[in-house]
Amino acid sequence: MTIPDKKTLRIRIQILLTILFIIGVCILFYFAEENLNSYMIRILSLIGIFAIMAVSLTLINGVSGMLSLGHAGFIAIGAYVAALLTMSVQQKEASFILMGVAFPINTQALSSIPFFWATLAGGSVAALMAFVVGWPTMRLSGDYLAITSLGFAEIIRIFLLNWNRITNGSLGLKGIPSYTNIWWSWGWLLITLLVIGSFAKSSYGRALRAIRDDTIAAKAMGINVFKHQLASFVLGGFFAGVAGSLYAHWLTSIDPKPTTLGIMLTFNILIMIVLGGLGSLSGAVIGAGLFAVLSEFLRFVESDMTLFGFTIAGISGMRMLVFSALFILIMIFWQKGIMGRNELTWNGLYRVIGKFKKGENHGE
Amino acid sequence: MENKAKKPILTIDQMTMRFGGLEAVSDFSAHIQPGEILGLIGPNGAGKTTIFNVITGVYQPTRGHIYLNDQAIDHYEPHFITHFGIARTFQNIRLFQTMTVMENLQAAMHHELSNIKPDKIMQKRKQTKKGASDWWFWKAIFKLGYFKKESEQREKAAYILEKLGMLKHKDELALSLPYGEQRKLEIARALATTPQLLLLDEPAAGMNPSESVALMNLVRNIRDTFNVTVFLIEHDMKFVMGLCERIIVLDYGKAIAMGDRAHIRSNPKVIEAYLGEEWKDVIVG
Repeated sequence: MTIPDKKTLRIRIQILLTILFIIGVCILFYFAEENLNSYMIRILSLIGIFAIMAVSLTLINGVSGMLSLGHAGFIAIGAYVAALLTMSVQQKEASFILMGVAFPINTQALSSIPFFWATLAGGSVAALMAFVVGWPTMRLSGDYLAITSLGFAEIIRIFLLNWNRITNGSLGLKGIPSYTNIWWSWGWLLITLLVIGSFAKSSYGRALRAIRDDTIAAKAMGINVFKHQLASFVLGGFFAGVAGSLYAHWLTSIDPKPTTLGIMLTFNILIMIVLGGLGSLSGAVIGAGLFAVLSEFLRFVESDMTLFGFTIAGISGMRMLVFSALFILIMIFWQKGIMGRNELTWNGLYRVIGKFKKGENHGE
Repeated sequence: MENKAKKPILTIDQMTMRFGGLEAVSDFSAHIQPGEILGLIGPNGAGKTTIFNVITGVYQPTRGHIYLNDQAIDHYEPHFITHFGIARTFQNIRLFQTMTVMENLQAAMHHELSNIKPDKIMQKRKQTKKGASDWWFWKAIFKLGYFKKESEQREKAAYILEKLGMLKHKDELALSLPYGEQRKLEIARALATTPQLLLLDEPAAGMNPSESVALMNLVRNIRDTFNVTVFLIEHDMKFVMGLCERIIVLDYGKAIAMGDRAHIRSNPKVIEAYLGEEWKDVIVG
C-alpha cells in the first residue's frame, strides 16, 4: 500500500530479543539468589506473585473494562485448594484441631502433591468458580458487576471461615510447605504474561477492547459480548488462582481474615494496576513491583525516630497512611498511571532509540 | 450480482413494534431489492431508527417478521444478524475510540473467527465465511496460523480504507479523527464485517453541503465496489433526493408513501404530512 507502516522490527527479531531478555533476567536472578539475603529474595518472589495478580486483574478490569472487585475471592480459592493439596496428611491432622479433617482431604491421594500440579489445580478450580459466577453476572455491567463480584468474594471468605472440616475455619491453614521461590513465582509470571499478553494482543483482545469502548457498537459489529467477557473473566480467574497458590506457599499460613485473602488484597491489587496504568500489562507488572518494594521500603516510617534529640515512638499503620498519600498524589498529577494504556514493547524501544539518533541512518 | 432475479434481499413483513402503550412502528412492510439504495425519511420520532433496531436485532418485533434472503432473522441477537450479513452505522457516532482506525476495522472482522452453530441461514452463509473454526481461540493464544489470518485481515482493512480514501489515517486513534472522517470510519467499519446489506443511520448528519455531496458519491461508489445494498435514514432532503433510488416516507410509525423520487416529490400526502408547504419549492424545484 502507499502509506508505509510505522517503524517496526521484524517479528523474528522481536521473539529473539524477548528470549534474550528472559535469559538475561534468569542470569540476574541466579546471581541475586547467590548474593542477596533471604529477605530480599522473598521480596523478589512477592513481586512476581503480585505481578501475576495484577496482570490477571488487568485483563478483567483494564482490557475488558469490567470493574470486578472479587479478585481476592479467586485468589483465596486458588490458595486454599493448592495448599490443601500440597500439605502432608500429618500436617493436616496436626493443624485441624477444631473438628478434624473431612474425608477426601485427609487421604494420601490428595496430599503431598507436587507444587506444579497443585498450582494448576488451584487455578482450574478458581477458573471454574469464575465461570459459575460469571455466567449470571456477565450480563451486568459497571457498578452492578462491581457490587456482585464484591459480594461473591465475601461469600467465598465466609465459606472458608465456616467450613471447618475442610478449611479449618478461622484458624486457617498452617505449615504449608514454603515451595515458592523466585523461580516458581517469576516462571508462572512468564507463563501468565505469555498467555494473557498473547490473548490481549490477538483478535480476541481487540474484541474485548472494542466491548470496553462501546458495547452496543461491538454487538452491532458481530462480537458476542457475553461470551468474550466470560472468557476473559475465566482466564483472569485462572491466573488469580495460580497467584493464590503461589501466595499461600509464600506465606506458609493462610486464614480467611479480610486483610490476608479478603477485600484488602483486592484493593491492593487495584492500587497496583491503577498505579501502573489501567489496561497495560507491562504497567501492571511495574505497578506490582513498585507496590511490593514501596510497602517494604516504607517500613522505616513505622520505626522509632529521633528528631532533634526527641524520640518519637513508631506508629504501626503509618506505612499505609504514607502509601495512601502517595497514591492520591499520583492520581492527581499522573492520572493515567505510569504506562497509561501503552505497553513496553521492543518496537516502542526501537522507536525511542530511533528518535535519539534521527537523521543518521534508518532509511531501509 | 444477478440483475434478472429481482428477489428482495430483505423483506419486512407487517412488522409492528410496541413499547408499552406506544406503538412506535405499526404494520410496516417493505422489500429491499439487491443492489439498490433505499431511503427512509420521516419526521423526528416517526420510528425510523426503531426499524433499524428491529432489523439488527436490538429489539424483537412485537408482531410480524423480517426475512433476509427468505430466512426469518427476527429472533436473533445483534451479533448473529451481523454474521448473517447486515451491518449498520449509528446516528450518534459509536466508534471504538481508544483504538486505531485499523484496529476498529479488525475488531469488526473478528466475528469471522467465531463459530456460530449452524442453522438454516448459516448453511447458506458458510460457503462465503471461510476459515471459521472452533479452534481460533486457542490458535490466537498460541499463535498457530494466526499471523497469516492477521495479515489477511490487515490487507482487507487496508483495501476498504483505500476505497474510502482513509488509508492515510490508518494508525491514528479513532477519537482523534475529524468529525467527517469519523462518520466515514463508521461506514468503513460496517463494511469490514462483509455485509450484503448496509444500514446507514443519518450518515450526513452534521455535515456541510460540500461534504454531503462527497458522501453521496462515496455511498454510490461503495454500493458498486463492495456489491452491497444500502438502506439509509436521512433528514437532509437534498441528500436523499440526490442519492436514493427509492424512498419510503414514515409518519407516526406508518409508511405513508413508497416509491421513486418523482413519486415522492409529487405525493400530496408526503408534502402535507412531513415536508410542509414551504418545502414544496425546494423539492419540486
